[in-house]
Parts: sequence; structure tokens; C-alpha cells
Amino acid sequence: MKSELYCDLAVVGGGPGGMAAAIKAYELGIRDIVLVEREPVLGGILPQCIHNGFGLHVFKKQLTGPEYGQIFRDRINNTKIKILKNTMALALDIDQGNGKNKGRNNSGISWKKVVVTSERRGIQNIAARAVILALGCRERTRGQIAIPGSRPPGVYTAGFVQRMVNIEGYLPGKDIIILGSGDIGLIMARRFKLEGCNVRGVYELMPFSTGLARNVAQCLEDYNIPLYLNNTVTNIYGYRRIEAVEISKVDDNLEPIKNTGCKVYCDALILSVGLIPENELSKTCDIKIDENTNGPIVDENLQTSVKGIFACGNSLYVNDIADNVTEDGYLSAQSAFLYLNKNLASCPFINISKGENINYIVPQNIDGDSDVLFRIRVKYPIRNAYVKFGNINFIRKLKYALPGELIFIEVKKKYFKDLIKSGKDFIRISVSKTPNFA
Amino acid sequence: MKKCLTCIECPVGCLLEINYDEKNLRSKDIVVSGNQCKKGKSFALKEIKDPRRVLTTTIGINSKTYSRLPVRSEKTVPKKEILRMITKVKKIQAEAPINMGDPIYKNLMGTGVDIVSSTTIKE
Repeated sequence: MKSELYCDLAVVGGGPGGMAAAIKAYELGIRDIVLVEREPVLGGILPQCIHNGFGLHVFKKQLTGPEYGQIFRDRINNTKIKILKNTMALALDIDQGNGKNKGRNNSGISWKKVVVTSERRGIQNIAARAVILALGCRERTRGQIAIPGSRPPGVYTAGFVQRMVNIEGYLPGKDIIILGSGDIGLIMARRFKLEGCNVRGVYELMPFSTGLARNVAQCLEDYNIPLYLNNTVTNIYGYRRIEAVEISKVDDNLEPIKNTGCKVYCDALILSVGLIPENELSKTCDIKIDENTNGPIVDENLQTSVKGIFACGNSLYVNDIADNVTEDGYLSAQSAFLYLNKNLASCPFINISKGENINYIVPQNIDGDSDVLFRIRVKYPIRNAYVKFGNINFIRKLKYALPGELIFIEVKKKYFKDLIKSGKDFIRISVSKTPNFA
Repeated sequence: MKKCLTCIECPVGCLLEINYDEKNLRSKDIVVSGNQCKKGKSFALKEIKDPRRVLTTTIGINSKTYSRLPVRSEKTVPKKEILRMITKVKKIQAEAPINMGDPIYKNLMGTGVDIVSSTTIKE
């Protein structure tokens, strides 16, 4: 029989986002918190990110990933948050309230049900008044970028080999080729070099690096690892083991150019070709998903389209750095706290629409009742860019607007006043070289 | 002499331009531009005079639950020494239990910098 667990707040996912959310919620006074984590330890990907560069915003110093995770783990261990480790969340359900549940719930806030499973306790229902989703993300694989060729062992994703090298202690090969200049690929290029591997190069389809500029500097330039832009892998050779790849140049449309292919020998091909927010769980209760972020559509409180369910971390949108994930975790907890106290007035009727050079914007809709932090991802790089908020005449000038670096802009509440009075229901954001509104 | 660098102090990654005379490395005579905060200037000066990085790697550990222990240099170490230092650090075997910040190797190659554990492993 299914056992039932009741709580005020269920946090799904024990990485940087979920740990921050649980701690903040506890500090705000929510006492009845359950944190669900599928691994045997809290931390998410932090334990495998052994490099430094974490914590600059949150702790004002440079920490490694394991240290950053350990600080939060220690803080959680000092609370009475109930942690369910080795536990996988399977489904979300908005309970319409059967008799038994009603008796325990006189708060007037509906129950949300999280169905979880673990080896020790079997299938369990967690009934929570509020839920925070901190589900993390997954790596794009060879199948998703459709590399032709044979299918030998030796083709791995960057995050997977990061775990393999740093946690399990195995090297995937000695002669390494990295496809994609995402941050994990750059970090792993340096890691392989430090482990004595030969890193033949990092090949990037786009005309610019998709990772942070500082990672290109400290991971590639420091160790003389070449970065080849506008190049991609067009064939994989080998049967029992990968033996070589074919590298081709690409044209302006990112299509491989015929007869530019050259064979490069390797014994491992590492793919760092993007991350996808993990939202299988969100989809089980019809939370609306943004097709550009691949995460839930949220308002400025990080509340999803289902009231009382909040999202943060890389399942909301793929962040560049863990500190931002922590901040969003805090914000989601604050919102959940207001929701549980029935102080979250949220009717997000102002739609945030995408103009020139916008890949995505979070939040996707707002109610304009408070200051709003916009997170903007551009499509292509621009120097001396103007970020323009149409309908509210708000402009911000930036030295750089880069796809690899999320843009954060806070807009004060007063800017939304006139918009609300005028009856308009959208703000169009664009990023370009001119300060003029289109 | 003119040199261009990417600042690695924070995720913004400012593109720095440094103008200096190789024979005169006094801080006040080195001109740095392109930085958006004061960290950029001090990073540029350090890069010209004595480039340093934090060393991070893993070492073996005798533990029930883990086979590798992440470690770091407590402070920055000279960049050009990192590969040599890593081969030295790699040979160390740690024992559980261990706490975050516990020293693994003191005064690495006479630099005065300790190698410390990046995490806590109870058993």
C-alpha cells in the first residue's frame, strides 16, 4: 500500500537550486519541508565540478564545486528538513481533494501530490501545499545532433566524462577530441590535459565560443589547446573503438562544406553540445513549457502555470553559473512562502514578447506589481548593445551581449505603472546595436 | 608593449588591453583598459608579473563510498608550475574520514601553499 507523507513544501531535486530553495524556505519559517533527491548524496552536479569559480556572487570568494555543495549540505544538516535520498519523483498531481486529505487541510490551499519511489520505501505519495521543482538538466547526445558514421564505443558527453574522471576515477581515452565549446567541454579540455591526455582540439560549429570567455582563456589558452570555430564532426570511424573523426568546415548557414573534410585520429570524442532542462515530471501535471527555454513558463515569482508549483535552477532554463541557480532557488522559496501565507497576488497578465536577437526571456509573463529581474539570452553576439523594453520605454546599454552569458536586468516597479494604466498587455524586448525602438 | 587578455576573475570575462614596458613592471606604469571593475586591473597586473591559478584535481581515497577525493590548492600557485605540481599531488592517497579544508599536503614544492580537501567524506 502506498504510504502518505504530508508537508507544507516539497522540493524536488537536491542540487544547488533545490538545496538553496529548501534552506531559504526553512529560514523563512516553513518548518514542514521534504527534499527529494534521487542520488545517495545531495549536491547534484556540484561534486563532479572540482574546478574553482563557484560562489563569487553568493559567498564573495572563489570556491570549487564540491566546496560550494558542502557548505549547503552542512547548512541543511543543521535544519529539520526531511531529506529523502535515493528517491525518484515519478509524477505530479493536482489533488482535487478527497475526504481524507481535506480533514488534514484547513488552510484552504489545495494539495499537490508528488509520487515518489525508492528501494527502501517503495512508492510513496507526498502531499504538499506548495512544490518547488529543481529538476536540473540533461546533456544533448550524439543522436540529437545526428552525427553520421559508425557507432563505436568512445563517444561520450562532457558531463558524463566529468563524472567518470572526477568521481569514478577513469579516463575515457588518451587522444581526445571535443566537439562543442560549451562550458563543460572547455572545463574538461583542461581536465584531460592535467591528467596527461593529448587534447587535439575543441571544434565549434558556431562562429563564436558558446562557453564563457573566461573559460576559453583559462582552460584553452592557458594550456595551448586549439579552438576551431565554424567546424564540425561529419563522420565517425572505428568499430571496436572510435579510431578517428572527420572534421569539416561549415558555411554561413552552418552546413558542412563538401570536400573540406579531414580525418583526425582520436580514441575518444567528447560532446559538449548543449543542455536540455529536465521536465518529464513537470509535464505529468500539464505545467506549460516554453519551447525556447524548454522549461516551465513562469511569472516574476517563478510560479509556473499551475498555482503553488514553482520552478528554479537548470530545469527552468540553463544557467551559466551555479550562483544564479542558488539565487533563483532563494526566490522560488520566497514565493512559496508568500503563497503558503496567501500573500502571493499573482495574475501575470503582461506578456513578455521576444523581439530582435532574443533566444529566450524568463519570466515569460509578469503582473507588474513588483520589481522584476529579467533573464535574457541573446541569439548572436553584439558589442555595445542596447537592450530595449518596448511599451515601457526602458533602455539599458551593455558593453557586450553574448549568447554564452545570460543578461540580467532588473526593472523597477514604477516602469510598469503607465503600461498597466494604458491597458496594454505586453512588453517587447529586443537587443540590437541601435537605441531606437522598432 | 601591448597585450590583450580575458579577465578570469568573474563570469563577465572583460577583454583587457594592457600597455606596458617590459623593462618597467611598476604597477603605476602599467596601463590597463577594458575592465569594468577594479578586479580587472589587479588581474592584469598579476598576469604580467606573476600569473597564478588555483590548482584543482582529485586524488585516491580509502573510503567505503568514494574512490576519488577532490582537492585544491588553498591559495593560487604559479601557473607554469601547475603540471609539475599535479604529478606530485596525484601520488597522494587520502584516508576517510576527512573534512572540507583539511590539509592533504603542506607547503607544496616550497611555495608555502597547502593542498586541502574540497569536501567532507565521513566514511
